[in-house]
Amino acid sequence: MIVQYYRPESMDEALELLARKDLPVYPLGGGSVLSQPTAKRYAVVDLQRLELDQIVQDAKGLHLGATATLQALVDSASLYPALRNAAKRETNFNLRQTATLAGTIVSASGRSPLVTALLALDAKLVWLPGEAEIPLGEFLATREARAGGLLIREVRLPVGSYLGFAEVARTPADVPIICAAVATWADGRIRAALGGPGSAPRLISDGLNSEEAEDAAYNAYSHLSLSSNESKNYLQNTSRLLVRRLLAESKSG
Amino acid sequence: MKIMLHVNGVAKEFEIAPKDTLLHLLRREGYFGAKFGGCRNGECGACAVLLDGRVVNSCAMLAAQADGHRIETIEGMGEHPEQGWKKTSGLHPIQQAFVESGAIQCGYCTPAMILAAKSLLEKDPDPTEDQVREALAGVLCRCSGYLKPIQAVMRAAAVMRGEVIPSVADEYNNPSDWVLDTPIADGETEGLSGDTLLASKIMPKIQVTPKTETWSQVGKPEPKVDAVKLVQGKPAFTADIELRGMLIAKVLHSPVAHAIIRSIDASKARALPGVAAVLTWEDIPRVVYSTAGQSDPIPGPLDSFSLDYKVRFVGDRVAFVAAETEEIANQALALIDVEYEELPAILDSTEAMRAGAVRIHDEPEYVDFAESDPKKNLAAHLRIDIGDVEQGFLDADVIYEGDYEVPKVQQAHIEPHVVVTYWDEDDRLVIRTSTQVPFHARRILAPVLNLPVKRIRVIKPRIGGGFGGKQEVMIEDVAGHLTIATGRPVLYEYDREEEFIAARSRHAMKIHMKTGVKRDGTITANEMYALSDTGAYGCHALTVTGNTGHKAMALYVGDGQYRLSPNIRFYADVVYTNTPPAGAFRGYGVPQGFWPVERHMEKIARDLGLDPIDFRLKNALRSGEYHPFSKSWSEGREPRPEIVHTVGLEQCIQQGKAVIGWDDKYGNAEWRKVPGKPHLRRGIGIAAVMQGTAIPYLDMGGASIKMNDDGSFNLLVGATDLGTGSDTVLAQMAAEVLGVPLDDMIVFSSDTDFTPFDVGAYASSTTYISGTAAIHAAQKVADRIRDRAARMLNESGDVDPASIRLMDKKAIAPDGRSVTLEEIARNALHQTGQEQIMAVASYVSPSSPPPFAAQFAEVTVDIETGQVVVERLVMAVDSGVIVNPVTASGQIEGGMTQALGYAVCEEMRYDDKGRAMERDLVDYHIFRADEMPRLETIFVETFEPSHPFGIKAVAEIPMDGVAPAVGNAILDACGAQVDQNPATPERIWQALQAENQSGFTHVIRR
Repeated sequence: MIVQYYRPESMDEALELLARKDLPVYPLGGGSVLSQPTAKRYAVVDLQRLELDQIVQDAKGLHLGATATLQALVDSASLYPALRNAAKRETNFNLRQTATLAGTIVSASGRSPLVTALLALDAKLVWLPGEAEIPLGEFLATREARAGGLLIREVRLPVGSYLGFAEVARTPADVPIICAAVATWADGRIRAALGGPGSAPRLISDGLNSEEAEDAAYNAYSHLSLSSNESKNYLQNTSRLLVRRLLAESKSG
Repeated sequence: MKIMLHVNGVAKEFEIAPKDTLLHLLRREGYFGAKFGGCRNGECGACAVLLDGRVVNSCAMLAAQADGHRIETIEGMGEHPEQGWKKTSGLHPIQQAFVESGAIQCGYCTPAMILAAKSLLEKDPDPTEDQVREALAGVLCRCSGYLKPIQAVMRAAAVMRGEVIPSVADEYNNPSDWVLDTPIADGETEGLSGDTLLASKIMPKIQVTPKTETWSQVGKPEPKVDAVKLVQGKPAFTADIELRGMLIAKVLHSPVAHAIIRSIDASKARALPGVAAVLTWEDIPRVVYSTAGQSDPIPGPLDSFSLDYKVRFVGDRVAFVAAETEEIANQALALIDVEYEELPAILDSTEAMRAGAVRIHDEPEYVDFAESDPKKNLAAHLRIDIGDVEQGFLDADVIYEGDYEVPKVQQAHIEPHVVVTYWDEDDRLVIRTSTQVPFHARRILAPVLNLPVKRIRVIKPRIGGGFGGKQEVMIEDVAGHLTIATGRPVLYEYDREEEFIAARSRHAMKIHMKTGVKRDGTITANEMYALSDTGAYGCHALTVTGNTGHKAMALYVGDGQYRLSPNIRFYADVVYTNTPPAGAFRGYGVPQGFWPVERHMEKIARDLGLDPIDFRLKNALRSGEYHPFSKSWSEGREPRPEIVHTVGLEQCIQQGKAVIGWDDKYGNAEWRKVPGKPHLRRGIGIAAVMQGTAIPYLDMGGASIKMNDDGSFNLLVGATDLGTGSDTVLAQMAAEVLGVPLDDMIVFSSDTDFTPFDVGAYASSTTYISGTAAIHAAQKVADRIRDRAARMLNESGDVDPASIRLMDKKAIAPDGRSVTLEEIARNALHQTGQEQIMAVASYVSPSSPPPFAAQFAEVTVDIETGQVVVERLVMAVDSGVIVNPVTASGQIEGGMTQALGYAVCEEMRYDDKGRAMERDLVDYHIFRADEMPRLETIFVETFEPSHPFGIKAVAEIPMDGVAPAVGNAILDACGAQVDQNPATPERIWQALQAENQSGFTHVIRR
């Protein structure tokens, strides 16, 4: 249950509030997760006044502000088309108006299309205070254990690479059963990520060899101990197929 | 904390708690147009409002977040054009378009859709259809199929741009461009802006029967009588009420699938400040009953208690709490100590009747019905033998056997189950509830609450969708017990998780088919066995499963001598398991039957090398033949032979084939290919289906009509409009008889104190049964009007009352002289031989004329992943005369959409502890506006002679054919035999890998 609500005017004020130790304090983006009732007592720091919603590109790459809404990503012509599509597939139109990029990353399930695409693109999270830059994959692996008091300022993405996204779902707008994203760079680097069963999407390959990426996709769910409605056999074959298609697409595109 | 919101242009300050959602605040302040959909992830969108012009879900953000922002709710849009002496600017063009386009069914999601449309059109006044679909995609609608809301937004956009668009009445009066025998080519566009495949036409295609030509009301696309209030978001629904001192109820649900409650200690919960009552099984009378909302005696076992010392599924009731707030109620639930002695659980229906299986119902109070046997976990057993089935199999050249399976699925009405109870000033218990069966609810609840029927009043406000889920008397007792315990008003409203763990669903079934066929395609014998899973309680167990055979197995009788004497067998075991109970769901057992029947028929036709449509028509029931089951079974009642007078199936198939372009696509290898995408295959499929119209000799509806001073009429019906439009079509039929426009019929439904009895909304009965009651009442009133008119006219001449016609709000003599209905009303009420002109009538039918339909589907299958996309659904329906083509086509579109979920994605599953795996509308996906296939409806009218206006039912038949048509289209596309629905990607993929590609488990060829 939210027992305290703050709307700071400055980043310093926000960080000070987030550093409180007397009760859990969480940054509040769109509120679609934190607004839901729970028995746990906590405070929220609403980030809406901090102008963290900018989407800009410079020499360092793409900078996606933490509170950029998913709809802003969908509407941003400067982004990779596949990333925009993945943002669109994340949730419905209404929720995309308020759900933020950072909130989506923090609460992402294993089947998150957007986080799968960001993983493939080697997204980095920039944290405050300190401007620490942490790879998205590292954050996802440790997010349950991370200390409070921190705030994602932005997500950084490289420019100039190619991103493909593919999925299998029961219907066109359903949560994917499996989704895959493959990013390729001019130097031959290939990063592949899968979304599916499990607590978070997973990076399956980062290297130069496309066959390795396909094999990694096949093996990603080979030790499936996760709750899944699909068989291991299906997940393995479909994962490999989607990555194979995306690799072919990247070569032809 | 205090916040300032600019609500609908007015700055207002509110005191809130930090935890309060914006939805909570808005509803607390009387903005009831924002609806609660029960969800925790913001997935339904019924709560949507505009925040600084953007559409947002008010349940998924804090009120504090909105501080300083601009909020628009539906209450800030248009209003009724006439407010007495005050004239207003009327409805907003979007609201007006929703009214005119038939975009409103239950109306629960309507305010959210209108606001979403407003947001879109303010940004882009000339949107494409895709943009409109996208804008509406955040609002789930379970009724409409989205077609008419999208059309409404397109029409509104055109109006707001200043364009002149044809009215729906213009479309009705100029139907010439609907050329039925000319298929609409793929990609052909018909739209306001020329860039949309969405037909701008609201009217469906209709092949009109000539008998309707002179009617002024029946057959016309009138706007719904409740549309204006619903587009304004008026507080019409059960929870849209505030009563002083109202408590919030919550239920403690069982965490285990099967257990005896060894002890239960509620002392800590009762001691919590703010808790008004905690009830356990020890606190209330132990009354055995059935929650099934059916006529007396209920055709099923009595096996339920309000609270019991045993729990039988995860989600079963353990205790009730009433508290000052929801938070306190939830805290109280956590403070109830329960000691469970767990028992083995049956989670698979095939285990239920095995020797040594644990007994789920061992309570001494259990009351059997027919062949129920709780010792065997058997809630019902059926066996229906028609003709000589064994001889039929001996006659066959080939016998085909196959196994099929259908899942448990959820009704998923957007308004959750909700009830408010309170004592009135006469110490009568008022139950304001979202129910399809107010009169059954009153009768069933009386003994449960230990009150006589006469001390209960059930009020049915507007219903936000039901689909059978609210044919259950399922939550009213909770609030009723708590009001009795506390003396205070109580609100109990399910959240979405409770809808999944503790409401009803469609029965899952495992079905075996065995069919004997001659090589020429003549069916010689047809047999179905169904193992039906009723879950923990036997509500609707017998009757739902009976309909599986009664409707689906009645369609194919055979040909030649077999047509004269069909050989059909249907037998079924309906078993208890430790899963949430199944119950009524639109279609009521019939969709479960047509999945196996129509998949099986398709396979047989293909195996014999016959055209699947010719094969179906060769064996299908024809007009003038007996319904083959009518001599053998009737929902737990005495069966009586019944002739089926009208069968429009062949015409439906012809029209549907033309529209979808069947002849160009079926068997066309080139068409199946998708250029540039070798992994994709197109396919086309058909299913032929039939339903029923009410339950003969049982379903009864009543109506009363009262004439007012101005010549208008009050029509009071016990029937319950759950979004179907029944209030409108009943009024249209009565208006036709009385010669008045629909505006002059003031419809009220339903309140057990004021409206006549009606069984309620189920079994596709309302238009036929309650409608006939309304017609009969209108005829009685019309006779009284004619008598009086004759007397009034006879002052200057001799007029026979029987010769007087009622039309245009007048009583008109053959010589042309007339008196207005207003003059007649004033004469009757104030001037001469004063009387109240009114009448009451009721109707029970001796027949149940089946509607028929041909359902077509087009799909694209990815043969490497198994992913299927349904591209197009066309349904041609013989529902007799269509009273209102706009509301009826809305029913078909919405039904096809629900059925589409049954075909490809909807499924309720449980883990090895019996815990539901789907608990929200994210994991349990229902179709959204932005992913819908193209939908087309065709009505092929027949004139059903058993009804004054020739009608048959519309409501349920669209549920029956989509899944098998999609399954058959998948087969056509890629050869995959998917016999378990929904046809998920993995099931299709597995079918493509299967060694046995025939789809049969056993084939005998002679």
